[in-house]
Amino acid sequence: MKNTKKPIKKIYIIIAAIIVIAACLVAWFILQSKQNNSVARDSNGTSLERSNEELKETDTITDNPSVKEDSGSDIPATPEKNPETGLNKVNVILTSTGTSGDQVDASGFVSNVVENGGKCTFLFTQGSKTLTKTSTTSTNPTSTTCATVRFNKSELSTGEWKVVIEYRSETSYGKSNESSLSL
Amino acid sequence: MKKILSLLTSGLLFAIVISGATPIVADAVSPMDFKAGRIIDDNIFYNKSSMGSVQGVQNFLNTHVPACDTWGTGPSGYGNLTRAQYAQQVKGWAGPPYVCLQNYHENPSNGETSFEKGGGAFTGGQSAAKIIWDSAQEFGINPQVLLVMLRKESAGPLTADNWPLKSQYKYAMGYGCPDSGPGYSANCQTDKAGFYKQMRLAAWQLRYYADHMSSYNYQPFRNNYIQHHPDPGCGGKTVYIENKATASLYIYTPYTPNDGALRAYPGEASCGAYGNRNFFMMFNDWFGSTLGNGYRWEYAGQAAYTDSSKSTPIDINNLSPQSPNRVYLTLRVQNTGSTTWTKNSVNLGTSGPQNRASAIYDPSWASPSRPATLTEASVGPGEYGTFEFWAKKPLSGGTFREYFNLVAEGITWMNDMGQHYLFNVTPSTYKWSSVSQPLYTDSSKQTIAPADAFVRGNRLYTSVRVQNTGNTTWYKNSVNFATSNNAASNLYDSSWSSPSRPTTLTEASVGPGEYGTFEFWVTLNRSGAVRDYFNIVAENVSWMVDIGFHYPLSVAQDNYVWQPYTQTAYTDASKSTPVNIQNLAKGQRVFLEIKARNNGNTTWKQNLLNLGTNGPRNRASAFYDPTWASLSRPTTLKEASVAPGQVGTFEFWAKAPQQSGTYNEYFNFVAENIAWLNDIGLHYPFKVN
Repeated sequence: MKNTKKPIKKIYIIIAAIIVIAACLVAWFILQSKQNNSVARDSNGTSLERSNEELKETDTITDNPSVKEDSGSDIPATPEKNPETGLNKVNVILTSTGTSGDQVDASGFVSNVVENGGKCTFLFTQGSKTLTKTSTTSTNPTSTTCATVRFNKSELSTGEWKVVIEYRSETSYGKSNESSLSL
Repeated sequence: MKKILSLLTSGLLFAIVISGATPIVADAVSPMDFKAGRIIDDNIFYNKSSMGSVQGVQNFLNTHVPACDTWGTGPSGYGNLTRAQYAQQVKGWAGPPYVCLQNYHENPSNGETSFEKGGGAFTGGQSAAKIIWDSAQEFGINPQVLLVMLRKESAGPLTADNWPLKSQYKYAMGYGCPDSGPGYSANCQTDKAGFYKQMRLAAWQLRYYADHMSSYNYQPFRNNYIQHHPDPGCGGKTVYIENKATASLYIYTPYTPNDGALRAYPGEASCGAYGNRNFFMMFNDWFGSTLGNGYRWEYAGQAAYTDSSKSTPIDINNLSPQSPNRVYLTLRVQNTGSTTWTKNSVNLGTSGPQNRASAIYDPSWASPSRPATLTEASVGPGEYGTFEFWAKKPLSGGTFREYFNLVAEGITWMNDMGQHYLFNVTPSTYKWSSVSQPLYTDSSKQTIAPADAFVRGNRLYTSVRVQNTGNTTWYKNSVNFATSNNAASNLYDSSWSSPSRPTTLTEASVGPGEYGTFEFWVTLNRSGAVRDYFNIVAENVSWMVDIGFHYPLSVAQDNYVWQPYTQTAYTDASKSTPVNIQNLAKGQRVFLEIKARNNGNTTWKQNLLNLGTNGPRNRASAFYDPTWASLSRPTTLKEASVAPGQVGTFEFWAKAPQQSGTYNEYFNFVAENIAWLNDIGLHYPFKVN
């Protein structure tokens, strides 16, 4: 009887040691996950605690309260004035030209001004031929949209066309990059 | 074994305790997961219910905005100055209170905020949570989207600041400060300042983009050139935008991050723009994935026709009872999700509530909740699809809306657009007037019933001519003549379809203003003044307006009187050989004939007027023959009917009994269940040898 009890105790000790090691590994894994910015979430995916990023954001404010005066937005630079015309030099971006069914469309915007009353002129040129389409504008938080122009393909002959947008208002002027349109 | 299990359990508990972990853990998203064309899906972006309620937003703010140092008593890190001292003495900022987002209130009508009202709630003030929630609800934007925009746009940001300044709330959503200088706020638009205005403007703007997308510079389902940075010199790239939500983010903040900006998150990089990168990362950080199940649609038009070839439109908002009973409906939709739809997998289903049995169900539907599947074999993202189906015109008058939504069967219902068909049906009116109601003695309507025809037991034929004075067409077998309130009628005739339904319309249909006819037999079942009322009923739809229609009848008591005419006996049914009934052999059969004149006021009818045994009545006759109807009823009237003044015939076999003797067999006539006729001692004096 004495001979059989001693090995069982040894087994318990070995198992206990394995479990302690495994527990430590699990704990390490969970802690590592937290350091990797994982957070507890509810069943909808909403986080139930502040993440490392949020904690860092608070730390940044604590370390440098001046960030209270900064905006988080991607803010464009204030347009420069053209000394000759006295108009602000604004950035006009042609974002899309294309066709859909029997329609041609072209879109763009002014990236560094927010104002009403301006006019966008879309110029379609092919050699000596020019087709002009104008559109009104609408404002966004940091930019001004040129309303998309849309017209029947039949107004343009087949071939390669160059497209440019000119924006003009009482205070601003700008011309976009050139894009091509194949018909 | 128990000890081993115990050790295992305690080991796991130990692991959880020492890690301090909550069991539900999700991996963080990488900035390299950012997809320029699909920053967030529409079904998430426009899910205005995601946070449940104002309290849901408040709970979120309570969890994620740090504990507030409202009075700025905490250390500023600048010498021994408190935050309030630092703000006022070093930075020239306002003193406390410093109102954190979870405590912020604002009165929209006068612009007062918690900064002037002691740092928290005040009468007339709305909480930031309520302002966010209400903006989301009014404009159909996910409040989570607004919270993330607040985090990425506001100075601080407000969502991480435990002692914010009032100025941080003024342009919290980045709305109205278009450029960077000079002095940053120089070009901000003061009419857009304030948290309430900023939040509403942002939500309104996002909704406006969604509703007017085709006019904007960035649009889904096409290639769009997007700059990397406000400086055009930094270049950009062409992005195929996959949905409206992503296009809206680009219109709001018109830059897409370059690889450097993505790698540097949350830091900065050359030519980097961060708004949309941060939106993606912060949404994931707070609310999980920005990508939904890929199923989303938008309304592109609907129509209604009288025919499936769609050649004749019909205005379902102005239907009348005369309109066709079925209309052919179409719905055109755009697939604004990221998953291709296929016929028989994507169907139109009833909604509000989902899978409801439709009130306009037509047997051509797959089921009462599935009017149609996609017409096209497949509809890819950005493409248009159609659903077409027959619908039954609503039975009841008035206005009602029948709601539908798209369902990817077995996968998900799509975004509920509140899509419905608005029906307006002029209520049906069922009215009539009586034109004539003659009574005839015959169904060929040749003889108007004379005064002496109104005797109990007589049948008369009537033809009721009526005018349809309502606005609804009547149809044969749907519109019936009926006893008022389904009462049992004294005029019931066995030819009626039921005791309360004499007949249906003679004509196939009778439109408004037209004339119709109801023709049927009546039996005068009761004597005296008879006032049985009738009406017309559109079965299972409506009774018509009751005009008190009736026949003002005065029915005479029936009077059955007879007079002997002849009484003969023969050996044969052909009545060729007379027989002496005083000299009959036992068991001999004789053929007897009685002719009688109808001297009463009531027409005799076969099977009603019978010969019966008499003295006493209903006696079993000794001369019974198996040809009799019973032991006491030798025969009935031979003619179908015998009018008053006419002569009727009764013929029957009699069989002499087996016992000899003299038999006076008495008979009389009986109107069954009405009366025995006058007893004049009619008998046969048989003698059997």
